[in-house]
Amino acid sequence: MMNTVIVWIVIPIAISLLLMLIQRFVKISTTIVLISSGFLAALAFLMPEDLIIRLGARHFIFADVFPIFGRVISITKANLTLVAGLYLAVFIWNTAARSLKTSQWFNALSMLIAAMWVLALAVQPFLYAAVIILLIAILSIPLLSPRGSKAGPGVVRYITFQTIAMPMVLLSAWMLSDIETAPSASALILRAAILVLLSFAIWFALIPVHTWLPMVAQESHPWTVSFLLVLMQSSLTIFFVYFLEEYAWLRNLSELWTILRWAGMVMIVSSSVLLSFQNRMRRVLAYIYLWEMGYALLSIGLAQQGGLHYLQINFLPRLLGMAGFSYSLSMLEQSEPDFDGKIRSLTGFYHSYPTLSIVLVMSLLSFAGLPILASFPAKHYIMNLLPWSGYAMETWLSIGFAGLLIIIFRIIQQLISPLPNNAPVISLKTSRETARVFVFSSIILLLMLIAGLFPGLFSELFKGILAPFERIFILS
Amino acid sequence: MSNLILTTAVILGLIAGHINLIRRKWLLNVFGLAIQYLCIFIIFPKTESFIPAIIKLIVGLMATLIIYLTILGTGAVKHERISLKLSAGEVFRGLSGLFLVLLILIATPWLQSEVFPQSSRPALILSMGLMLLGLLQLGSKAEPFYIIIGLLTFLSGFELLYSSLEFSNLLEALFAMVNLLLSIAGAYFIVKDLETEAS
Repeated sequence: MMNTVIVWIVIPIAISLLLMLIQRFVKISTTIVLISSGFLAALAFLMPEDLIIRLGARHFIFADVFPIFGRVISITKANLTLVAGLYLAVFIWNTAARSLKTSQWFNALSMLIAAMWVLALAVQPFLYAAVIILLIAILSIPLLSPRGSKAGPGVVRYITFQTIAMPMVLLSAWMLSDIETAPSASALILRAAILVLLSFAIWFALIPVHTWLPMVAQESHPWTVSFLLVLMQSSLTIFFVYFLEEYAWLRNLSELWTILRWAGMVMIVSSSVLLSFQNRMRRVLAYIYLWEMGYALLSIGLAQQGGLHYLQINFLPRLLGMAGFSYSLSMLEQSEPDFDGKIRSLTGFYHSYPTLSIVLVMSLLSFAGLPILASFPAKHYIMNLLPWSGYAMETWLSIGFAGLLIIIFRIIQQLISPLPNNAPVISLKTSRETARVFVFSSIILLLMLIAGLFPGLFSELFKGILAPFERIFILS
Repeated sequence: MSNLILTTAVILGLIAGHINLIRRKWLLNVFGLAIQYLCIFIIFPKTESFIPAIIKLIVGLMATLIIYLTILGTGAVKHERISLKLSAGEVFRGLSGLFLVLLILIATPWLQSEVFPQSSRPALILSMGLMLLGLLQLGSKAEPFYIIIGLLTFLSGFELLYSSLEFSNLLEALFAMVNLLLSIAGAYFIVKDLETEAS
């Protein structure tokens, strides 16, 4: 009998160890990681409810529990959609990783990190995931700070924050065991709730504990940062919903949902204000992450009104937006050695790099939730829930929207401006983009449009993300 | 006799943590780290067998050894005399550390009765002391090497505290991995920074 844990955790870890040995052979390494991640994602999507694959007369039965050191790791059918999404991200990011000159460890470590996120979501008791999340942060170091450059303060701060968050979750876990035996112990509930919420605030990089994020984004390769952020955001939001699902005492705390909504709103507004004043392109990536995290928190805060569906609808659009923005930015940095990463240095890039410029702007517009683009259905869904919340949040949401639009218009203005030496546009060099860039960008653009025009197509694919949660919708 | 050993281990562990906080001498810091792990081994709550405590000691010493061998291998150690004179920054860190330790000594009885009744007093003092000294180090130094030492100090304190509350083989295995990977990360930072300086 096979086991889901072996297939989606042990085998990927083994593959990543193999890839570490052959990291210098770029083509072989990339081929292996693409085939394996594609296969793992497809298998997770296609796995039947009963975990039995029938090939002719043969039946492959998968167990979903794996005992280890007296505890268990469990990947059930309900978890497989998220697992598929994580390996899909590995597949997408590895298609362009080597051509974008990321770290030579990218193939191996991207696979390993995805497997570790799956492990974090599968370990029982699930609070042990805190240590695994710290392990993931440490494993990210070679990607975020590759050899040949001095270690920046952002990476070090990132590891520090993750290390501080971990004990808080474990201590709350220990307190929780007491709460289960004495559910009326309000002092314990308060302590555990504070510890849990504080640790999640650090993990989510909520303002004001977000400082590591813009620093890391500035120091590290955008393609690598976006990959790590996509995995982190997708997994941590679901992990937080697990908390709310598992612990009735937490979800029944008075004002918790209001706090979550306002935390989300504060994130949206403050990240958009910071975005509107931003001058460095790499940092835009970090603030976009915070903006998206704000929406995710808002949707969790609106769980009882059905807000959680946002996580399912927005899974692929967020992935596409991050991929589109970081790909175009990385390509521009790579193609233009004089580009110093500042927005004002983008002047006239549209005339030389039309496809990349379009992808860059469309990704940001998609994050903003403009119609016919990928994120529109998800953002529209959340906005429709707001009038029922009765907190006049719509006004704040509009302010948040305005901030993002300001940075988008600033970028567009620079991209289409003529060059400073007043050279006429027609005499500028024609597009310097290769066929590969054109194809990759076009695919991303096409997927963004399809996701925006036919939202049901992709949200149906990821509807299983919410399968493990039944109790969260009901207040006991 | 047993109490004397425990008290000595607590004092030694806190002094080692203090040295790591105050001084910026690589070899001294590595030595201090090893002493910390040794003291944790002595204070470690006695479970059914000695194995968890021994594993913690071995992992800690291995983490220390990884950093030490990296320093030795890269030739990063300069033959500097250890001066007894303290700079203003060192005095500040020393006094801050001392203040924190005093705070812990005052707060321990309350902490033990109200929050951590399962933990012994020596374990509580040493674990809280190391955690706070580690945090202070994280806040007062910026170089990756010292940050890693600070993180290892903070984690070793937390592991001691948590082992007095709950024990899990899986968690201990994960802690061991975290410690070893952190020390490898420290070694990576040392090598990387030296390479960058050389080029």
